Amino acid sequence: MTGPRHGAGFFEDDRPARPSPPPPAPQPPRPALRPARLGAIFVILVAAVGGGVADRVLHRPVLAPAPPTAVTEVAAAGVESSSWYCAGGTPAAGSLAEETLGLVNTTSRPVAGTLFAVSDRGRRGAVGLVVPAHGQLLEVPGPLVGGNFVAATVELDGGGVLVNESVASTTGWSTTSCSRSTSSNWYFASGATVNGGTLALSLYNPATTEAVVDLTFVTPAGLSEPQPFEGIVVPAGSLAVEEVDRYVQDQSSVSAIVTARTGSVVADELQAVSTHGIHGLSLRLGVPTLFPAWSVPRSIDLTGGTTAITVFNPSLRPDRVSVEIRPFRSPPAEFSQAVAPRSAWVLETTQQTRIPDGIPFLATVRVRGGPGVVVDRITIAPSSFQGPQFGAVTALALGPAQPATPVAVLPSPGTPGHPTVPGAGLGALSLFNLGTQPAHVRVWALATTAGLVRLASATLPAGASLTLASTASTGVRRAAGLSRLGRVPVLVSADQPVSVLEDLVPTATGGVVSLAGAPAGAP
Amino acid sequence: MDASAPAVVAVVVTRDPGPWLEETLAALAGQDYPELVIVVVAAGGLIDPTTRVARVSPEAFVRRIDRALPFSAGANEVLGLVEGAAFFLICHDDCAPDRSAVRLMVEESFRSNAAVIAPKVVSWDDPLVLLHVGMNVDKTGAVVDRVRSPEIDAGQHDGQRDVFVAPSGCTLIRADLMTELGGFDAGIVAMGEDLDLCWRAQVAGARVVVAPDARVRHLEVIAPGVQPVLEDADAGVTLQALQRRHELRTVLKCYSAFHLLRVLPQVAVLSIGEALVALIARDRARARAVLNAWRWNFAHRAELRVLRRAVQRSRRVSDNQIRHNQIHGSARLSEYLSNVSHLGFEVTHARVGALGRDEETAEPELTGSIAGAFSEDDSFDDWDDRGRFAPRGPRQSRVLASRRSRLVAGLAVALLLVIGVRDLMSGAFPAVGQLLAPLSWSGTWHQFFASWQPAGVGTTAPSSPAFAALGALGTILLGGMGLAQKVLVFGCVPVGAWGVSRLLAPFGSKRGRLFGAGAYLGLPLVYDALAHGRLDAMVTFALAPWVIAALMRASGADPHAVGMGRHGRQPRTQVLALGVLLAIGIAFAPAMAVVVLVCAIGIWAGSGLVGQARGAGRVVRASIGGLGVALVLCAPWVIGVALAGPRALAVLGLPSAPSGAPSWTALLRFDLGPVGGSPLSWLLLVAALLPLLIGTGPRLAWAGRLWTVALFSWGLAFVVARGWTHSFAPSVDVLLVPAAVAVAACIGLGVAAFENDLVGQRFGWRQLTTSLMMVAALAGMIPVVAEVSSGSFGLPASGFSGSLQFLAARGGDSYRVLWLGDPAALPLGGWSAGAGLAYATTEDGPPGAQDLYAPASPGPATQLASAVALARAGGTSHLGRLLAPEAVRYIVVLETLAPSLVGVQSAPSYPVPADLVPALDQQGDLRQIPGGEGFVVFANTAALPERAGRSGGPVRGVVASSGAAAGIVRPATGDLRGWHAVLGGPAGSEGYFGPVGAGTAYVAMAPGGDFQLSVAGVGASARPAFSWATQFDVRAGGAGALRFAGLPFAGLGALAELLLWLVVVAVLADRRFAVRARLRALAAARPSETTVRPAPRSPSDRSAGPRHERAGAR
Repeated sequence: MTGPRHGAGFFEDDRPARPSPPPPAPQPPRPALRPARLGAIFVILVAAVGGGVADRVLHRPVLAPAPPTAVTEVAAAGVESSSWYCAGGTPAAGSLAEETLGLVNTTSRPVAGTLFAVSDRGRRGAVGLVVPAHGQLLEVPGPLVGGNFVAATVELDGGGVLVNESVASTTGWSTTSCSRSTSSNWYFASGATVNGGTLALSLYNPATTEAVVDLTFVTPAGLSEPQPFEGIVVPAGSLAVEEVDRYVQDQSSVSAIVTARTGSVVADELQAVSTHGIHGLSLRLGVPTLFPAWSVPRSIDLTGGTTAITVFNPSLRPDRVSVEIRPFRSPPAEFSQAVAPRSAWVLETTQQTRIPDGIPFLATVRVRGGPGVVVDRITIAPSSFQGPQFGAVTALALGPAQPATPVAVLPSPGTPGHPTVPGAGLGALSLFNLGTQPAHVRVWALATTAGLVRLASATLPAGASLTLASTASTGVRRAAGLSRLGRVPVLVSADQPVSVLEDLVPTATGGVVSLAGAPAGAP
Repeated sequence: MDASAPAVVAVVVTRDPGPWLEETLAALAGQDYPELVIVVVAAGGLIDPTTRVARVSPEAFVRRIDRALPFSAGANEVLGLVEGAAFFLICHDDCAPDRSAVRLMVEESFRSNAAVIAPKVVSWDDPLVLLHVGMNVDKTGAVVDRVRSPEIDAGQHDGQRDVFVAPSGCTLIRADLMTELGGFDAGIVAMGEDLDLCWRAQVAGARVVVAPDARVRHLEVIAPGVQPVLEDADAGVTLQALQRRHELRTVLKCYSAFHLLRVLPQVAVLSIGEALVALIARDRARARAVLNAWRWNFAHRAELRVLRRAVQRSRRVSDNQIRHNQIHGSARLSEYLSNVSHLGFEVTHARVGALGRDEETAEPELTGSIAGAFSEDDSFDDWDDRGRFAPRGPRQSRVLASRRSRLVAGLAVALLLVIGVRDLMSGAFPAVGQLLAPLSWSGTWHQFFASWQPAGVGTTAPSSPAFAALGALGTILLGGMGLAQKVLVFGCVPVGAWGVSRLLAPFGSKRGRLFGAGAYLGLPLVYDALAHGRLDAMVTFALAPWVIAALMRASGADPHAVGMGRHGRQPRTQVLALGVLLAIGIAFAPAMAVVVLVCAIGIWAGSGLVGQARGAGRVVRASIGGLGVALVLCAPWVIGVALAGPRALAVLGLPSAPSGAPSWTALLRFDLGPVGGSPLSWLLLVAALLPLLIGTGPRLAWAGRLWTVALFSWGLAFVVARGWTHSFAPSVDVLLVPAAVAVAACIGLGVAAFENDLVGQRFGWRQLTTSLMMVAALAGMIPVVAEVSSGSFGLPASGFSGSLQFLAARGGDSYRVLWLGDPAALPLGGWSAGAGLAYATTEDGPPGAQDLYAPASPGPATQLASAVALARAGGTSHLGRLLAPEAVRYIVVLETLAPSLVGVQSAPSYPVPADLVPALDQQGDLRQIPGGEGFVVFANTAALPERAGRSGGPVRGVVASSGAAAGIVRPATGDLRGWHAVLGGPAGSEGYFGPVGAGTAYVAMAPGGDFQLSVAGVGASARPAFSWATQFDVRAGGAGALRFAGLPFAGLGALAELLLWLVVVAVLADRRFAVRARLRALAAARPSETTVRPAPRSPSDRSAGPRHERAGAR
C-alpha cells in the first residue's frame, strides 16, 4: 500500500497494511423499549407525597406581628433623626406640676434639634437646642407657650438622646420618660380621686392627623365611660387635658384606658395627692401594650405606710395572675388571683403578713393565661416622714417583649445648677437580671468633659435583683463610686439584659419617686 | 233537497289535476249528505278539466279562470259565485272524503257550535295511516301536528276536540264566517293559508273543532313537491321558506299590539337561535328560510298593515283567550331538543327536513338507539333507524368524535365562559393587578419607542416589548385599545385550550383532544389569575401548551417521530417558531423564560424516568435555542435587563411574603384564588393518572414525561413561594402553568389510551377505572363551572383607581406617588424592598398601563426603599423629608388586591410587614389621609414638586456617609423651603413647558444630565442636586422649556427590534406557504393516498393512524 486509505487515521500511513476487520454482523433491530410504568408511577407518587411531607415539616413562616417597641427606647446613635413626645406637666412656675425636660446625650457628639411646645390652649412655640456630647440639657417648655398645661415634641437630628420630663411643685415631684412614638392605645394601672385628689390625663397628638379619643375607667365600682370623655377630638399637633377627677369622683383606684378611634396620641397621667398630711405628685407615661410579666426590683413596706401593686387587665379576656414577693433573705411569698376582664387587682403588700416590714423585696408579676396586664406600684409613706410621701411608678415589663439591650440610661433629676427640686439626686439603683446567666453590670456616669466614667460594677445572678447605693443598708450594697455621683446622668451596661429602677431623693422614703431606666443601644 | 239540511257547497280548487281528480269528485258526488253542491274552480292551468268533471259528476259546476291562482285565491272565488250556502267545504283536488264525511262534519258543526270543522285526514293509499287530526300552534305560529306521522290509526285520536288549525286539504267552514273573513289570505300562496284562516276565525270568535268520525283521504301532492306551487319568479322558493314566512305573516297580523310586542321579540330570538343552529348543522336552506321570512314580511309591511287592521277590526276574542288554545313554549324548539336527545345532533339535522318530516337520504341513518343496543338479533343492526337495510361493519361511536359534535361541545364551553365573564364584557376592567387602564393607541407605541420613561424617578432603559405587542394588537383592532385589552385577556383562555388540543393531536384521539382541552379549561388556574388580574399568568396559560407542544415535537419521540414538524417545518424553523412564541410570552410574562426551561428539563428527566431517553436532549437544545431566539427578538429590553446586574432577576417576579405562600396541596390543586378551593379539584389530578394506569406505548411514555414536567413545575413553585430562592421569584401563577398543561394533557392522553390501548381487551378493571376517571374529571370541573354564576370569576368589581382618584395631580402640579405593598397586590411594576414588600412610583396620581412593566433596575429610586427601610428600623422620624427630593407627595400602602367595600366586594388580603404602617404613622411629616379598607395613604407634608422653582439659591443636601442612614440623601434644613411647581405637562413626557421665575429650578427626574432647561430661549446652567437630580440656575425668568436631551438609544433599539420582528414573521410565513405548497404537490402526486385507509394495526401502532389520514388529507 503506497498511500493512505481514504478515511484512515493520521498515523496509519506508516503502519503495515493489515487486513481490515470483518464488518460487524448485522444486528437484529432493537425492540422498542416499553415505557417503565411502575417506576414512573412510583416516582410521581413519592414526589407528590414528599412535597406534602415537606410542606408539613417545613412550616411556613407566619407574618410576624409588629414587635412591641419600648416607647422609651433611645434611638441608635447613627439614625437620621429621632423625636420624643412629652405630654404631661404645667407650664408655670409654682403651678401644680411645672414641667422640665431633660435631654441626655449618650453619644460622643453633640446632637442638634428643635423643641416644639404646645399648650392646652393651642399656643405653640419652638426653640433650637444642642445636646452636648455625653451631657444633659434641661429645657423648660412652659415659658414658650403658657397656658394651663404644656406638651412638647423634641426633634433631634440624630439618635442617642433620651428625653424625660420631670414635674415638681410644693406638693411633690415626679419624673418619667417621654415617648418616642404615638399609639392608639394607652393603659394606666392606677390612680385615685379620693379626698380631693387630682387626676388628669394629658392627650398629646404630635402627628399631622387628627385623633379622636375615648377614655374608659375601671374603678372598684365598675366600668365607667363618662360621656364627656367619649369622642375627644385632639387636633393634629395639639394637647388635650382631661380632668378625670371631675367625673370619676371618690374612687380609691382608677385604672384608665385611652383608645384612639382614629389617629394616635401620647398619653400621660398626672396625679396629685394632698390630704391628711400626705402629699405627692406622680407623672406617668402610659403603657401602650399589654405584657405578660412585670417586675418591681425594689420596694419596702413601711409601718404606717402603704405599698400596693396594682395589676390591671384592660382586655376583654380574664387573666390568671400571680405575684411573687421575694423579700431580702426571706422566703418568697406568692399571691395569685384571676383578674376579670377590665378590672384591677390591688395587692397591698403592707397588709400581707408574709412580707416583713422594713425589708426590701423584689416583686414579679406573671400572667399564667390571658392576654397580659399592666402593673404599677404605689408608695405612700407615713405622714410623719419628711418630703413627699406619695408616689407611683409603672413596673418594668419583662419577657421577650422587653428589649434585650445591655444598656439603660437614667437621666439625673436636673443638673447641679438647676435641680428639679432642691437636693434632688440618686438614692439607690436597683437592678434585676432578666437573663438566665449571671450578669456583669457596670454603672457609668455621663460626664460632658470626661465622657463615660465608671462608678461601680457588680455581678448579678440570673433572676436576682441587686440594689446599689452610696451607703449600705438592709438589702442594699454599698457602691463607693456612687458617692462620687453628682447630678449627672447614669448609664448602666451589662452583658445580660437587665432592668433598672432608680429611687430618687429627696422623698419621705425610697420608691416615692422612682424612674425606670430607658433602654438604649451601646454608647 | 231536504229542507231541514243546510246547504253545503264543496269547492274543489284545481289546476292541471292528476288522475286523482276523478276519485275526489266521485267521493264528493257519492256523499250521503243531500244538500251538497260541487263547484270546481279551475285556477289556471293548461288543460280545461270540465270534461273530466262532467264525466264523474255531471251536476258539478266548473268555474274556469284563465290566470293561475294559488289555492287560497282560487277558493275565495266561491264567495262571488254562490249565494245562500250555509257551509263551504274547501277541498284540494286530491282529497277524497268518505261517504258520510260531509254529513258528519255538518252535524259536528251544529253539535259543537263550531264554525270550522276539520275531518280526520288519512293517507290516500292506506287509510290506516293517519296524516292529520287537526293541528295545534304555539305562540310563534309554529304548527304542530297532533299526529306523529306516520302513525297508525287505532282510534287514539277519535275524540272530538278543539284544535287551532283545520288543515286546508278538506275543511268545512261556515259560509257567513268565510264571507266575514274575506276568505283566505290571497297573499299566502301555499303553506299556511289554513293557519291564517283558522287564527282569524278564532279572533272573530269562531270555534275550530275536529270531527274524527269524518274521514278524508289525502294524497298530499303539494307538500312533497309533486305538484309545484309557484310558477313565476318565486318558483325557487322552498315550501319550508313559504311556511316560515306565512307563519310570521300570520303572527304579525293576528296578535293585538300588546301581545305582538310581547311575542315578537321571542320569535326573533328563536329565529336567530334556529338560524345559528342551522348554520352549524350546515342546513343552509333552513337558515335562509328563517331569515328570509323576516325580510319578506318586512318587504310586505304595507300590505300587512292593511290586513292587520282588518283582522283587529274583526276581533271579538282577546288574545289571552286565544293563547289558551295554543300550546305553551316553543313547539319547534321542544321538538328539536327532543330529536337531539333521542336521535343525536347529526341525525336530527339529517332527517328533519323542511317541514319537520322525514326526507329521504341516500345514506343509512344510525342513531344508536336504545333498541339497537339491546337487540339480540344480529341482523337488527343491519337495519337503519328508518327501517332500511343497511349492512355495516364494525362501527365506532361518533359521540364527540365528529367535527360537528366537537364544534357544538366547543360552543357550549364558549357559552359557559361568556356567561362566566359577562360582568366584564362591558366597560373597562377594574384596575386590579395588571389589568390597568390601557394607554391610547399612539400612547402605547410612544411608550415602546420612548427613550425616557418615568419609572422610579426616571430611566433611559428600553421599554418592555409588551408595549409593542399591545400596540400591534391595537393596530389590528383599528386603535381600539380597550378592545385589545379585552381580546388579550379573554383570548388567552380559548387559545390555551386550543393549544392543549393541538398538543394532543398526534395521539390519535379526537375525544382525547376534546377532553384535554376541556380539562385545561376546568382547572382553576386561569380563573384565579383573572381574579387577581395576573395578565402574565393568563398569557402563559395561553402560550404554554404551544410551547410544550413544540418541545414535544422537537423530541422526535413517538408519535412525533417524523422528519418534519407539524407543518413540515425543519427543526431550525421549529426553533425559530418556538422563539417567536417565547418572545411574545416573555414580553408579557418574563417568567416564561423559566417556564420553557422547566418544561424542557421536565421532559428530559421524564424521558429518563420512563426509560425512553432517546431524543430527550433535543428538547433541552430546542428550548435553549428558542430562548435564544426570543431574547434576540426582545434584544433592547433584554440588554437593559442584563445591565441591571443581579437586579435583573426582578423582571421575573418579586418575592412575596412566605407567610402567605400557598400550601403544597393548594399548589397541586391550582388553588391560588377564589376559584377552585373545593376538594373536588383533586379529582382532576386523579383523572390525570389514567394514562399511567392503562396507557401503553407513546401515551404512557408521554404521560410519564408530562407528569414529570408537572412535578418540576409544582416543586419550583413550592420552593419559590416559600422564599427559599430569595430574589429569584418568578410568579407562582406562571410557574404552575406547565403543571396545568401536563395535568390536562394527561387527562386527554387517558381518553386516547382508552380508545387506542384497550381495544381487544376484555372488560375489566381498566374499563371500570376509565369510567371512574372520566366521571372524576367531569366532577373535578364542577368548582369552575359553579363559579360561572359569579359573572366575573371573582375579579373585584372595582380597583384602586376609583378609591385613589384624589391622588391625581391638578393644575400643573407635578409629583410622585410611592406605592408600597406585597408584589402581588401592587397594581404596577416595581422593585423588591424585601420579601413581601415591593415599591414602585407613579407620576401625578394612580397608575396606568405605562407603569405596568418596570425596568429591572430602579436606578436612583433605590433611595426610596432605603428611606422606607430606615423608617421601619426606627432610624428616622422624618421620612417625608427624606422622600422629598424624589418628589414623593403621597405614600400608598396596599394591603389588599382591591379596596374592600362592605357589602360590595372583599378582595384577597396581602398583608404588608407589620412594622410598616406603624413606622409611617410615627413620621412627623407624614399625614395619614382617612381612606377605605385595604389601603393606607399618607401625605408627605415636606414633599417638593417634581419640577419646582424658587427664588432662592440651590439645594445643598448631602448623602449621609455613616450610621443607619448611610447612603441616603439628607436634605438640609433650607432645601425644602420656598418651592412651587413649574413646567407643567402630562406624566411621562419628554418635554415640559411653562413660566419659570428667576432663581433655581429643580427637576427630580433621572438621569439628571439628560435634561436641558431653557428659559426665555436661554439655556440654564445645570448642576447636580441631591446627587442624582438636576437644578438649574435661572438668571432671568421667562417661558421655560425642559426637554429630554439624552441619546435615543432605547428608541432606536425599539425600531431595530420591530424591523427584526417583521423579518422573522416574513420568514416564517414564507416557510409556511412553501411547506403547504410542497404538501399540496405531494398530495397531487399521490392521489391514491387520499383514499387509502390504514391497515389494521396492533394496538401499539394505532397512534400512527391519524398521521396516515392527515397525510392523505394533505
